[in-house]
Amino acid sequence: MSDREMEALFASGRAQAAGRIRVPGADAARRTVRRRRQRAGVAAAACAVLVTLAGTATLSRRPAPVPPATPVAGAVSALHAPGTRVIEETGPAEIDYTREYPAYAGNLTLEVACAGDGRLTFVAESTPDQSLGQSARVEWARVTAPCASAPTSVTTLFAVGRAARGLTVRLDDLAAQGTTTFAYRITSDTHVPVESGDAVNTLTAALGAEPTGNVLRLEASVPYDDPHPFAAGDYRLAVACAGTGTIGVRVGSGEEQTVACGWPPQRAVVSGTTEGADRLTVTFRPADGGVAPALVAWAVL
Amino acid sequence: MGDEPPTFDEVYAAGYVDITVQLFAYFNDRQEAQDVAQEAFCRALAKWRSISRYDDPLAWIRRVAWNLAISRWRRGRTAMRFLHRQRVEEPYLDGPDPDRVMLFAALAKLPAAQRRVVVLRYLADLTVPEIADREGVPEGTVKTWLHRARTELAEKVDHE
Repeated sequence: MSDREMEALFASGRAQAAGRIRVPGADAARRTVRRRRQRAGVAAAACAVLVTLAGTATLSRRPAPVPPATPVAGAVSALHAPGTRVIEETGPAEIDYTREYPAYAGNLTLEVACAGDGRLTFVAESTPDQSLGQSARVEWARVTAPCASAPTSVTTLFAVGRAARGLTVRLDDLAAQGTTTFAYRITSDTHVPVESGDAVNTLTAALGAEPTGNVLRLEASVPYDDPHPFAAGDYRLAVACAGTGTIGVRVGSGEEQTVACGWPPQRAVVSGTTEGADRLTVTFRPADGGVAPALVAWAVL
Repeated sequence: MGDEPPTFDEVYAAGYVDITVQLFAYFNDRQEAQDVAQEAFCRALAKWRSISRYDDPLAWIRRVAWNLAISRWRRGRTAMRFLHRQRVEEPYLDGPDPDRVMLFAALAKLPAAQRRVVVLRYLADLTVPEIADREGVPEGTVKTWLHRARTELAEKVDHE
């Protein structure tokens, strides 16, 4: 391959790759530097306090404890949570560590392992939407993992909260000696990674009809009662549910009909007869251990 | 810009994507490339008053990014190897397009020194003397590495 052909190949690769780069921005760099300076200022102040105390207090002459030897751990060796892998990261543990991701749908498992000596804590929380003036973060999951030369992983189940702009994973606490290496993984039960916004689009597409009301976001065992009464006579409803578990669909005092939820969601048709003035009730029953809500769309046919 | 040193924002806008693409090609890991590039810019910002007066502040940032990337990569390599062993065939977000995968995958099979000089030559647009200076090797060595890398890449890309 000639030099010119190689240049053309790389020019093409450069253009394609550049389109995939997410630019954090100069402001993000400023925030990082400001945070580090603040932290360094606090550390310097703490040192000054210690020096002052050392000068004024009578200290025992007991030799200072020697920190344990901390061989840099080798492999981070314990991540095997089941499910569709949507996020996977590893690197040296540094207290500034923060990553932002899209809001993913489904039951999410955060699994953390740490190689080294000590322990660290990761949190999964909401990414504030600054365009809406949000600044507070909502914590969804917290995992503390011990650091060891032969690490074991710690997992927790969580779901992204309502109307979240995104998911942030942050190293919240680090108590370690020497260099530690972390690895974390987030898996989902959605079979393929699904972002929350896409889940709604997929759901309405599966329904195959214009939804009669808003897409419902149903928590476990909190029934949805539609305010509009049905007219007397036969009815047919198209229903689709994105989630893991089932929903019970009932009109008035009629028999409840069960519809399976899934990823991707499937359309089901529920039918019956009502004498009028009956209302629709939908109840979500998650599969065992599930914490994620179901998304439900329905339409009167 | 005249005699005024460039602002951090100007240099960031001019250089972030290019440096990230270079690291992306070298590591075949976009997130890691983004992180390392951002860290290099943060380090530049921390001492921007002096770095902005360099002839080419971006060259300083690129050098820091490469040094940082290689050291981070070395530290994380063992852990990554483990994770890759665990990897099963599951769908990922952001499936890269086939051309980029082919090129970057082929690059990933080259020895590290060859991969680095190829990226510096064809993505960072450095000259052979600049690469030789950067790598601390004679120009002839850089030319040899480039020749071997071109031959290897041609074979690998043709076979894909």
